[in-house]
Amino acid sequence: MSLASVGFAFFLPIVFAIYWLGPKRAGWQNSVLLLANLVFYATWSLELFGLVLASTTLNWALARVMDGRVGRARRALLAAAITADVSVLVVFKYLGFLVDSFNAMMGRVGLDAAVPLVYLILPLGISYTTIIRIGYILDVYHERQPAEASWLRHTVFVTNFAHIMAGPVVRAGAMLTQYASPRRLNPADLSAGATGFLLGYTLNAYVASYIGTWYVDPVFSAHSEYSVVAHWIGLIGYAIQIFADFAGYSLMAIGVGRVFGLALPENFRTPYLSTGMLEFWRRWHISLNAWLFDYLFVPWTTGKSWMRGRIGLGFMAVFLVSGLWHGAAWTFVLWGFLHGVALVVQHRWDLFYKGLCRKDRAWVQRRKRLWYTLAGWAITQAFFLLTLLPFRSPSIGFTFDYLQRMFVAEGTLTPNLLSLNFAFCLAILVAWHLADLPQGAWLRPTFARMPAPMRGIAWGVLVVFLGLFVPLGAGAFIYANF
Amino acid sequence: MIHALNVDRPPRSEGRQSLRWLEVATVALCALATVAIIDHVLGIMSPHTVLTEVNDRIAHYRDEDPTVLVLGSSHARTFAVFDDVARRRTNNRVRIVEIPVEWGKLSSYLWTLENRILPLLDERNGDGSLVRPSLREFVLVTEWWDATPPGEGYPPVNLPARSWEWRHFLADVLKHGITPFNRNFLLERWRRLFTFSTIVQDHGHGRIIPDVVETLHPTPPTAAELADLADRREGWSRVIDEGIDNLDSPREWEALERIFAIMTDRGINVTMLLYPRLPSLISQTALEGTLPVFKERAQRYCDRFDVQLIDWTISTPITDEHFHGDFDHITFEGNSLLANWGLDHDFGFLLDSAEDVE
Repeated sequence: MSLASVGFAFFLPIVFAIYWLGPKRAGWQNSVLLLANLVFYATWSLELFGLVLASTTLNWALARVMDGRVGRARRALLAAAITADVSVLVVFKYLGFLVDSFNAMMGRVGLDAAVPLVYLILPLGISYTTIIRIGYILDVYHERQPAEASWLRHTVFVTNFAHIMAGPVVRAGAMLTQYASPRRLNPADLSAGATGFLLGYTLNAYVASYIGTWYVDPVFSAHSEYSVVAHWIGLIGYAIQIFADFAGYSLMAIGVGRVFGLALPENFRTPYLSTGMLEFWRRWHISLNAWLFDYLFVPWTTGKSWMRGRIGLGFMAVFLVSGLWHGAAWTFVLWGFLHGVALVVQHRWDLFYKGLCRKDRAWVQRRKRLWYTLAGWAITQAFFLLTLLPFRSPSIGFTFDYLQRMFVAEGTLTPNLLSLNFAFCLAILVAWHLADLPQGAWLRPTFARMPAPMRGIAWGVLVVFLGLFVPLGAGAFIYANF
Repeated sequence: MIHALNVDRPPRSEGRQSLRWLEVATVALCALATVAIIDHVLGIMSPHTVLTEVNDRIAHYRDEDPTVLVLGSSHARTFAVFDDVARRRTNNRVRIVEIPVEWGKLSSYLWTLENRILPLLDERNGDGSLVRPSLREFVLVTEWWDATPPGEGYPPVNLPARSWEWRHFLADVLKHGITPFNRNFLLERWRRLFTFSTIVQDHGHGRIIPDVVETLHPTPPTAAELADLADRREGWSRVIDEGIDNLDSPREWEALERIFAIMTDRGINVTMLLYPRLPSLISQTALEGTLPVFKERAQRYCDRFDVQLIDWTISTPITDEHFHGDFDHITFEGNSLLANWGLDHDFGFLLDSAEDVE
């Protein structure tokens, strides 16, 4: 079950009613959420929820034991907790990939390793629950966060159905305090939650589904039959699809959290307006990138290890981890490597430019000019677009084959762009981004100032629109695969 | 360092709270009203029909204690009209309940019979007598298509949407999680929650927009549309012609055998009806291939269980004009004609079926 599925339309009202009609006590509310998490997960696999519960309980227990200890024992407990968390992830997500790669490597040097391949069913949300747990244990270790006394609060914090499938990646410091106190239903939360959910659904179930179905999947599944233009359409379509899919799902998750009186972190801030890769990663999957930078990059580059001060190496390492986190395949490693390189290049460029500015203040002014911004935007977006190719490709070979056909292709098919739905999708995306530009800053406040009946009519029209145009069973979710 | 967390809580002022609730309620009510109004207007331009399904008819069976039970695919709905005519003619002595398993195959009918109908059929009072003792006749409405599954080993795909109850769904989810197969149950439940809504009923069919365009700007069929219609006719005809290659499904024939066994074991008189087909779709190839081959095989099962086989494929007063545009279902007028003609001829025995019913 995903937040955009018809199953969720049955699930949400029931949980909502039990949650808010019961006692206004944190214990009751957290218990309801835990039960809801169990049911939500059981719609995928009840057995594997046991695994998630067991890992989460171990994480909680080790943090509790760690709380009163210092020195070696504390470090050993931290190592044990992280090893346990990472082991589960490695076994379920990476074992097949590692064995496959090992066999291939042995084959290259003429040896037949033939280690049997093991591909286990990937527990839903394992990548997310793992980094949430690791973040928590590191917070406790570094005394940024006291060990949570309540197993219930800790478990609900890790497994909340709103974010278990695809984030946002939550942190103990922000969430545990919310779970500790009773939540009260208030109109602002309900309104913001419903709004976020509806807008997220529009992006996820309409824009992403439509673009994916008509412009991305056909081209990627039989790209040799498509023309050069079609290859560009397919890739640009994928950029639109993955943004709408993931940003939409994140908005829905945040909206659901809000409806239950919980504030989840923001996850997307119109990344396609970014004018540099560093900025891009502050706008795309914000909660994950913030986690990677805070829990990996900062300790690695500012700690006592040999990596101290090696910013470039830190970028490379973080993005290789990010690539592997997204999927156990060499295509994701390539994607991470390319983005690591991009951040290194941008970092060097920034240092170089700073040098120019120190020598001549005119360079400061040049950086503020429109052409500089536009060039930065174009380079950033073009780079991100091209790196989506390995991200979407089933293999490295496919990546290069597709890339080649973006310039020379013998195929003749081209998807038809003259469609009403395509125009609607583009209009939604443009309006979405326009609202975050200074020129469109009036959009949201103007809508918010409109009389309530007018706003109601607008939402009603949107609901009708979705009822008419969202394909049946839409709302599949790409990022759930990661 | 990236600061991603945004845990600012919304302001909570008790004074503002009541005002805001009013505002939220106004927005929600206006949104609902907008949806309702547009939905109603769209319903005028693109009327929808809510068809009876297994659950509706099972509930009817529970209350009705029928004398005749009809099981089949969507075609079984024809017998709703038979019921009207039969009741009129027998002063409500004969009561026909039809159970239409939309998109059915023989294996779907068997599942529905075993899991939904038999519990009612065999339900007994405290003294051991049947709760519903009136059933005398069972009619299986079928055709060659029902013996051709899309793929061996695959569960009948229509069951979750058409025949399941919540308990079946939950048992399947506990076993397999939510799958594309059992999700159909939820989609159909959702649809049935909003039988009044044109938008919800149309979801996935896409009829509203063309209907609205046609209402606002009526145009005669274009050459392309006419060609498409001709293609569809030809396609249907070809499907029937080629059906002969796909009639050998052990699962479906076993299902037929089991259905006959279940009903005859209970002393119920069984009839198998081969449902009428659009006459002009039946080619000479079909008349010499698919149709007789299927009938001959079905006849063997009928003979074994002493079941009467009635073949109405092309031998009724029904003409092309009595079919809907889908080339498959008969119009209300056609069904009325068929019911009156049928009860005068081949199905006349149904009118006598309730003679010994108290």
